[in-house]
Amino acid sequence: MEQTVLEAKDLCKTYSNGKVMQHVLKNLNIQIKEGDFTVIMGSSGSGKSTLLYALSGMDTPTLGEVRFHKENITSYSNDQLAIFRRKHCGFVFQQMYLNDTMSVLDNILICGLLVQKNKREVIRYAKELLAKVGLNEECYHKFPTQLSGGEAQRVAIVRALINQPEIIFADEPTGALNSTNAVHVLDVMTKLNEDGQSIVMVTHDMKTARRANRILYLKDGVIVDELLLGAYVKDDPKRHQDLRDFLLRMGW
Amino acid sequence: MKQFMIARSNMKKNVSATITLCILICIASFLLYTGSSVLFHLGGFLDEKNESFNGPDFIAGVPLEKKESVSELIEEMDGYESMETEDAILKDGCGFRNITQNEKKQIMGFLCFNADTVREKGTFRIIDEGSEKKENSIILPYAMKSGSGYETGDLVEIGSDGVVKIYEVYGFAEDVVFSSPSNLSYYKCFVYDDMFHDLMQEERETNKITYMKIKLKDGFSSSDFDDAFVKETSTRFKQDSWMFLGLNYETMKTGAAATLNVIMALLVVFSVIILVIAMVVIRFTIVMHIEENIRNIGSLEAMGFTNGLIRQAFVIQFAGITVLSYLVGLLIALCNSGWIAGIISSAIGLKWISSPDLLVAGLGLIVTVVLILSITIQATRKVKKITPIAALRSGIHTHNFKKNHLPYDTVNLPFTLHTGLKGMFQNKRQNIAIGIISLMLAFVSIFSATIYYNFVVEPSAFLRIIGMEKGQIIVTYEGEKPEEAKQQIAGLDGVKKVLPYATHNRTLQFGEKEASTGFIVCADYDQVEIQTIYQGRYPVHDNEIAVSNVILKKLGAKIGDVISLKGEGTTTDYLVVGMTEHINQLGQSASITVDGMKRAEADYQANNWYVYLENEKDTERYMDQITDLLSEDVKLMNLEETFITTLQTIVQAVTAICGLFGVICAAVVVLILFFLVKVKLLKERTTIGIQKALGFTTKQLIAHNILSFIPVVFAGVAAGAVLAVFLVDPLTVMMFSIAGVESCELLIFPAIVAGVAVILIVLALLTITGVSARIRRIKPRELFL
Repeated sequence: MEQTVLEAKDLCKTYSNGKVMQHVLKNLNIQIKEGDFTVIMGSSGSGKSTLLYALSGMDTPTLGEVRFHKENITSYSNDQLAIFRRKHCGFVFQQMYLNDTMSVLDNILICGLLVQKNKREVIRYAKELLAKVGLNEECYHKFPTQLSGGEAQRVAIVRALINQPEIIFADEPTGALNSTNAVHVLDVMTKLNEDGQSIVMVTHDMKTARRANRILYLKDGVIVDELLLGAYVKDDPKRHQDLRDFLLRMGW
Repeated sequence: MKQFMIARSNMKKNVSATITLCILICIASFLLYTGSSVLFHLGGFLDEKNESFNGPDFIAGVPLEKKESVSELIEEMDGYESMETEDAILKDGCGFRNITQNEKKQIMGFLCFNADTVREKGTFRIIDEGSEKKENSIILPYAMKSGSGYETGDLVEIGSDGVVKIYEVYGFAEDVVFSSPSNLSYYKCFVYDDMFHDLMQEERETNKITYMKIKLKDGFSSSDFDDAFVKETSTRFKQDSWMFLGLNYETMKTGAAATLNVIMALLVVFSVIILVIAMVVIRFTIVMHIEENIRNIGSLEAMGFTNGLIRQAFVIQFAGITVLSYLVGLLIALCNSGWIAGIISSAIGLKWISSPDLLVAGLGLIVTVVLILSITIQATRKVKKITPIAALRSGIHTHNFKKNHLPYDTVNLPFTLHTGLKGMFQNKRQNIAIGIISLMLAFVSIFSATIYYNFVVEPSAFLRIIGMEKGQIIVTYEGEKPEEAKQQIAGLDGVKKVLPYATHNRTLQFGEKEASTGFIVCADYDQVEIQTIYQGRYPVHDNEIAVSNVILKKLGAKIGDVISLKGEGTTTDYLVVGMTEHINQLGQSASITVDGMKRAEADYQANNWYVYLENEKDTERYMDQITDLLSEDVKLMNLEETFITTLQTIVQAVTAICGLFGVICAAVVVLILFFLVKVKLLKERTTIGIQKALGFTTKQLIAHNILSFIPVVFAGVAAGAVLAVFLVDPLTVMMFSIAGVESCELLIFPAIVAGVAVILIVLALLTITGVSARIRRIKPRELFL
C-alpha cells in the first residue's frame, strides 16, 4: 500500500486587499501518495498555483492544515519552511529561473551544497542526473542563456532532484517551451515518475496532463472531480479519450 | 517636450538614485561655494579692511630714545610718503585671563595704545561698544572675541612682572596686521587716557616704544621697503631680540590669510571628491537603468524615438538634478553664512562680512554641471548600440560568458562565504564603484584624522613645519654675570637645559642680491628641539651658516656657496652648510652659532636663553623661581603658554575642518551603500525569491548579500588607507609649499589609521546589514502568484 506523503485538510486560502476578500481555496482535502504523478487542472484563476504553493510550503494557508508525513508544516516559521522545502521538495518553474551568472553545474550544486556536506558526492550525483536527462559534459560549464529552452528546463529538473526530494512540484514546466522541447521534458518527468518520484504538477495543457496518473480538477477553489488514469502508456487512445471526456464534463 | 517626459519617468523609476545624487551635489555645492567664495575674496577683504582703517604700509616699533634717529632714517628712504607716530606699551609674555568667564590664562604679547590719541593712520572702530566708558575700560582685539569668546562687559586680568591690572571690556577692534595670534603673537589693545598714562608710568622703560606708522608711495612694495629698512637699521643700530623693528603689510597680509587659504582650499578639494563620487553614482545609475529598461528603450525606438532623443532625456534628467541640488546647497550655504562667518572670523581674527557672490556661485555651477554632464554623456553612449529589435527581444547581453567566478566544483570554501564571494564577482560593475568610493572616503578620513593628530594631539611634526623653537621659558638677561646666571638656572631641579637662542633681523648678500631676514643665533644646534634642517646640516663652526630655502632662492645661492652678513659698514662671509624649511616668518630665516655672530659683531652678547623643563606644566612655578633667583636682571616670557595661545586659532580651525570632513565621509559612506545595496536587492528580487523557494533561509541570504559587499569595502578602505599613509606627507608639503616647505614627516600613528578604517568598515557593515534586512520582505509566492 502506497504511503501518504502529503495531506491537506480543510485547506483554505483567502486574499484580502482591505475591502474585498477573495476566497481562492475553499476547504480542500487532498492526499498525495508516494509515486503519484498528480496534475492539477482548472481554468484560469481557479486557484491551481495557489494550491500548488500551499501544498509545497511556499505559501501559508489561511485555514486548514498541510501535513507532510503527519508533520504539520502549516505552523512552521518562514525559515523552517525554507529548510523543509530544501530537504523534501524540488521545484520546476515555467520560466526555469536558472541563475544566468552561474554555469549549469553551479546552478545545480548551489542547491545540492545547501543540504549536503559531501561535495564530491554532490558533484558526482549532479553529473549522473545530467546524464540521465540527456545532457552531457559539454553543457557543464555553459551558461543558461547558451542552452535551448528544453535543455534549460532539464537543468532545472536536475536542480530539483539534486537533494532527492520526496515530491517535485512543477508549475507549468512546459509552458515556455516549443512542442519538441516540451516532449523531451515530459519524457524526463515521466521516466522519473516511473522510477518512483512523486510529482505534483499544474498545467492547462492536455498533452502534459496525459502523462499523469491522477488528474484533479479545480473550479472556484474547490476540487470538483478527480480522474485516475493509471500508469502512463505512450500513444494510448483510450487514455486520451478518457481525459478528453473528463475535461469536457468539467466544462474545460 | 518628449525628452522631459522620459526624464521625469526615469527619475520616478529611480527615486533612490535621484535622492542620493541630490544629497551629494548639495554637499559638494555647499563646500565648493563656501571654500571658493572665501578664496576669491580673502585678499580683497583684507585690503578693504586695511583701507577702512587707513592702515599703514609699514610699521616700525623702536625704543623711545631711538625715535628721532629712526624717523630721520625712514624719511630718507625710497618709497616713503608720510608717517605718524604714537607711544605704545609692548610687553612679551603677558597673562590674559577672562575673570568673568573663569577662563584659563593665555600668555601673549601685550601691545597697548591710547584710545584717546587722535590718529589718521591705523584708526579703529569699536565693535560691540559698551554702554558706559570706565576708567579701566579696555578695547581688545576682535580675535579675542571670535577665537576666545570674550564679550563686552567681561572683566579681564592683564599683566606680568608684577604689573597686573583688571580691566572691563568696552569693545573690540580689528587690525589686519595684528589680526590673529597665529600671525603675530601680540594682542593689540586700547585703553583710555588716564589708564594709558598710569601704565606708562608703571612700566619699565624697555617696555615702552614709539610706534611708527608709515605710508608708502603708490605702487611701492612694502616688503621691499621692509628689506631696505632692516638693512639700514642693522648696519646703523644695535638691536635687542625682543624688539620688533619692522612689519610690512604685504607679508603680514599673507600670514594672516595663510591658515584660512589652506582650509578653504581643502574644502574645495573635498567638494571635488564628492562630485567625483556623484559622477561614479551617475554612471552606475545610467548603466543599470539602460540594462533594466532595455525593452522600454526598444519600444521607444520602435515608436520613432532616436538614440539622440533618449540620450537627451538623460542629459536633461541629470542636468536638472544637478542645477536644483546645487541651488539647494548654495541656499544652505547662504542661510548658514552667519555660522560660517563665525568660523572664518575665528580663524582670521577679523569680522568676516560677505554678501552672496553671484560670480563664484555661477562659476561653481558651471564647473559642477560640466563634470556631471560629461559623465552623463559618456555613460549614455551605450544607448547608441541599442537597436529596437535587439532590445525588444532580449536586450543587450552584458554577461561575460568567459568566466564562471569561483565554481563550486573546483574551489573549496565554506558554502556561505563561497556563495557571497560569487555574488561579489557577479556584481563587478557595482563593486568597482563601491571600491572606488570607499577608497576616496577612506583616504579623506584618514588624511583628516592624521592631520588632526599631528596638528592638535601630538603636534611635534606640525611644530617642525612651523619651525618655532619650543622651549618653556625665554629669559632675557640684563645683568653683569650671564654665565653665572645661566648656571644657576640650569642648576634648578627639573630644568633640562638652558640654551642661548635669539632672533635678530639682519641682511644677507650674495653677489648683487640682498635679503633681509630673521637671524637665529644659537650656541648649539644639536640641542634644539625643533630641527628645521632639510638638507645639509646646522652650522657648527663660526664661519658656517644655514639658510632657509626661501632666502636661498631669493639670493640665488645654494649649499656650498659663501654668502655675506652685512654689518655696520662691514660684511662677514659664511659658508652655507645647510638649508632649513619652515612656515614661521613665511619661511625666511638664517641660522648661525653664537661664535659666528661674534665674528660679525665682536661685542655681541648671547643673553637670550631658552629654558627647557622636564615638566612643561610647571612653567609658571619655574618662572617664579628664576625671578626669585635673579630678580631685576631678567625679563621672562612664558613661551609654553604663548605657543598654546598662538596655535589656538589653527587648532580650532583644523578641529572644525577635520570634524566636518569626518562627518561628511561617514554620511556619504552610509548614503552610497544604502543606495547601492537597495538597488542590488531590487535588481535581484526575483533571484532572491527563487532562492527562498529553493530553500535558502532569510539569514543565509542576508549573509550572502553582506559577504558580497564587505570584501570590496574592506579592499577599498585598505587601499585608501595605504594611499593616505603614502600621500599625507606630499599633500601636506603641497599645502605649505607657498611658505617654502619642501618636506615634512608627519606622525602616522598606525592605531589612528586602523581605527578610522575600522570605523568606516563598521559603518559600512551596519548599513549593508540594515538594508539587507529588506530581504525578509521578499516572499517567494509573490513572484509566482
